[in-house]
Amino acid sequence: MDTLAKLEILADAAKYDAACTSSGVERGPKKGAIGVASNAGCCHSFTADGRCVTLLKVLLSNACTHDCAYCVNRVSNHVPRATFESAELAELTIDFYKRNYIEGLFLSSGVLGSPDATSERMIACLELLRGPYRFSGYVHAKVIPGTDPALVERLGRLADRLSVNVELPSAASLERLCPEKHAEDVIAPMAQIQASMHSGRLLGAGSISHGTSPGAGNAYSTVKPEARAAALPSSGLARRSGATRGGPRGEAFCPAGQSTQLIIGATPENDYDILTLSTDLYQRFGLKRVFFSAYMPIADDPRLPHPETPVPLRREHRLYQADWLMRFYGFEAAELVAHDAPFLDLDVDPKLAWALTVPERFPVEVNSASKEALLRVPGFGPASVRKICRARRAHRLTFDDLDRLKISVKRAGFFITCSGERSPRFVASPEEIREKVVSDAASSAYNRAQRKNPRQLTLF
Amino acid sequence: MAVEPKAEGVLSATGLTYLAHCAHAPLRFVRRDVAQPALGEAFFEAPTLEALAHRVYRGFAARIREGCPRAECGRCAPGCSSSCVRRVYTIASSDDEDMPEALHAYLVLGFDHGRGVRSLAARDARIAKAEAFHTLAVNESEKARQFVRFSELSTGAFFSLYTPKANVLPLVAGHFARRMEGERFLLADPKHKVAVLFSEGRIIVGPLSPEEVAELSRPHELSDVERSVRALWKRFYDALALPGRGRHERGYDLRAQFMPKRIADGLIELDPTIDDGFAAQAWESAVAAGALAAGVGELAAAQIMKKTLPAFPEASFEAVDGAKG
Repeated sequence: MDTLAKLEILADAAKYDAACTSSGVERGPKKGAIGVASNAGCCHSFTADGRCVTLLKVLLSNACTHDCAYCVNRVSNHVPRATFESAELAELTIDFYKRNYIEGLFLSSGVLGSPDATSERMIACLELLRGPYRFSGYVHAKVIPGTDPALVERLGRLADRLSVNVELPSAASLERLCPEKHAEDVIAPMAQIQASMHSGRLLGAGSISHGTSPGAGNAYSTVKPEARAAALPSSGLARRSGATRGGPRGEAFCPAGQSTQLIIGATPENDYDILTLSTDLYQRFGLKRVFFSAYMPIADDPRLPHPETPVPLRREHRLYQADWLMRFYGFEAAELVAHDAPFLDLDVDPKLAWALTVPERFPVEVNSASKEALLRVPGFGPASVRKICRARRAHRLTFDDLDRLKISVKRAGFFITCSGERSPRFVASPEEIREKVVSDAASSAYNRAQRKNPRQLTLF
Repeated sequence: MAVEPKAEGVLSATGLTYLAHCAHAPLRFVRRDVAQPALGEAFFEAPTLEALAHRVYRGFAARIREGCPRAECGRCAPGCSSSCVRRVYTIASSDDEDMPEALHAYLVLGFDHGRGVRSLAARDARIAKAEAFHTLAVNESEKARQFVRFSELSTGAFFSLYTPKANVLPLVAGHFARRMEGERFLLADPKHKVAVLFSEGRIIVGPLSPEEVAELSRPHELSDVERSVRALWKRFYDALALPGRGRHERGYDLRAQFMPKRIADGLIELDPTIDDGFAAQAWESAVAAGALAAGVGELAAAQIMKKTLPAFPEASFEAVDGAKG
C-alpha cells in the first residue's frame, strides 16, 4: 500500500478526534533543527465543515483490537486497515511543515495488540522525528488508556501536548459501550501527566510554557490561576500570565499541557453532567482544554442513537460557549446549568441565558463598572472590554463613542447604560429581551436551515 | 505634505514639519502617488530621510514608554505601550489613502499624550482610523502566517507568491525565517511589489521592479517531490471532512468565513485539479511546449539576491508578533 492510500485511510480514521490545536508553548528556532512552536498556535486550513487544520492529524494505525461501539475503528467494523512506518510519517510531517501546510504532528493510534505495544511504536516514531529528522515543531500525542507509566513519561518528553480521551461522560456509559476500557485506565495517566508536569515546573526543566493554570488555554487567559483555585468568579482582563523558562536539564514534560475529549449525544448524560465533569477535570488534572465532539451516528447499534439522528451541532456549540465562559470569563458551571434545568438553552447563548436569570445585576454603567462586571455583559468580550476601559480613561463614554470604537451594542444594549442613559434598544423585562433576541436569531442562516430540515434529535 | 506611503515616509515628514516649526493642525498628509490638492491647498513633496525617520521613531518610542515599568523591562502585556510603538509599522502597512494622515495624527498625538494616545479613538476619527488600519494589518498578517503555501523548486529553495490586502509581508518575514531555519525561501507579494528573501540565516526585504514581478509570476520548475507532496496534502485534506456538519446542515458555509475566496483560490487543498493528475499533465505539457524556462524562479531569486536591497528596520519584523493579542 503506498503512502497516499495509507494517508487517506489513517486521516479518515483520525478525523473524529476534535482536538486540533497547536497552542500553549513557545519555542524558538534551534540551530540545525526545523520548526518552532508559538504560544498562540496557527490554523493553516479549514475543512469543508469549518474545523481548523493545524496539525497532521493521523493515526499511526487503525488496526484496533478494541471494540468500542461508537468508534469507526472498532475491530468488528469492516473498514480498510493501514499502518504507517515511522520514517514515512516523519518525512510526511517535515514535507508538510516546510510548505507551511501544518504546525506539526498529531499522533494517535488504534490499539495494536496492547496499549504498551502501541505506545512503543508511537514513541519510536516520535524519537525518529525529534532525533534524526531534527523536528522542533509542535507534537500532540494521544495516550492510550492502560499504557505503562514509564511509557507515558517517555511520550511526554517527546510531545508538547498529551491527551487522554475520556470519550464518554460517565463510567456507566464507558462500561456499556467500551467493554475493554475502564474509567481508572483513563484517570491514572491524567493524574500522572499532571504530577510530571508539576514536578518538571518545580525543577525548572523545559522550554517556555504559557498559561499553565488549569483551564487557561493560553497566555491571554482572563482567569487567574489563583482565582480559579479559590473557585471565585472574579477575573481580570487579558494579561500575560507568568511564563516559566526551563533550565538546561532536559526537555520539558508535556510543556503545552494536557487535554481530553468528551463525545456529546451518544449517551444520555445531560449538559449539567458534562459541564460538572469538565470543571472537575480542569481542577483535578489542570487540563488545558476539554473538547466536545458531537456524536456522528456511524453504526446501527441498539446501544446508540438511531443512525438517522442529526449531529447535535447546536448543543456542541453551546457547550463550547459555556466552556469558554468558565475558562475565560470566570463563570462557574453551576451558574450556567443546574440540577433542575440540566440542559443549556439552545435558543440563546449561555451568557445571555445567565443574564436573563439575574436581572438585578443589570444594567451596568460602562463608565464605572469593573472589568469583571463588563465581561459578564452579554455581547461584550475581552476585546470590547479592553477598548472601553482604555477609552473611558480619556472621557466619559456615550453610545456614539461605543459606535466609533466599533463595539456592537445590539446585544449588550439591553444590559448597559452609558453616562446614565439607556440604549434605544432597551426593553424592560427579561421575557421581552429573550423574545427580541430569539426573533433576531430566527432569521439567521442556521435557523433557516433547521426549519427546512425539521428532524428532531432522537437520543433513545 | 505629499509623502511616500510607508512608515519611514510619514516619520520623516513628521520630523521635517517639527524641524521647520510648522503647526501640525493645518497640515494634511497624503500619499504621494494619489495626492490631489483641494482648493486653496498646496502640496510639499516631502523626501524620505531614513536617518530622520529613525530618529523620530526612537523619540516616539521613548515618549510612549515613559512611565511604563513593564515596557522598560521588555515585559509588555497585550495592549501595552510597546505594541503602541510598533503600531507605527502596522498602521503604515495599510493601502488606504488616508494612511499617512492617520499615522501622522497617531504620531503627533502620541508625542502629546504619551501612551494614552489610543484612548482617544472614541473621539478622534483619525486615531480610530489608525486603529482600524492596525487591526487590518494584524488580521492580514495572521492570514499570511496561515495561508502562505511554499513550493519546493528544482534547486531545493522554497518559493511562494502571496497577495495580502495590506503590505504585511515585511511584518511576517521573521516568523517564516524562524520556521524555516536552515532553508532558503523567497516570498513575494506582486501587488505591493515586495519580496522577502531568506538565505543563510539572513532576511532581506526589498522592493520588486515590475519586470521582476512578471518574472516571478511565471510558472516555475518544481522539485521532483513537489507534485506528490501536493497530492498527499490534498488527499489528507479531503479525508478530514466530516459528514453531517457541512454547510447544508448549518445553513451557512463556515469554511468560506475563515477562508475567503481571494485566499481559497490560491490554496492547493481547494484546487480540484491536484488529485486527478490534471495538474501534473498540464505542467508536463507546458514544459514540453517550452513555456517554462528551466529554473525561472531560481534565476529571478538569484537576480534579486544580487541586488542591494534596502533592508527594513529590525522593528518592522517583529511589529505584529508582539502586538498580537
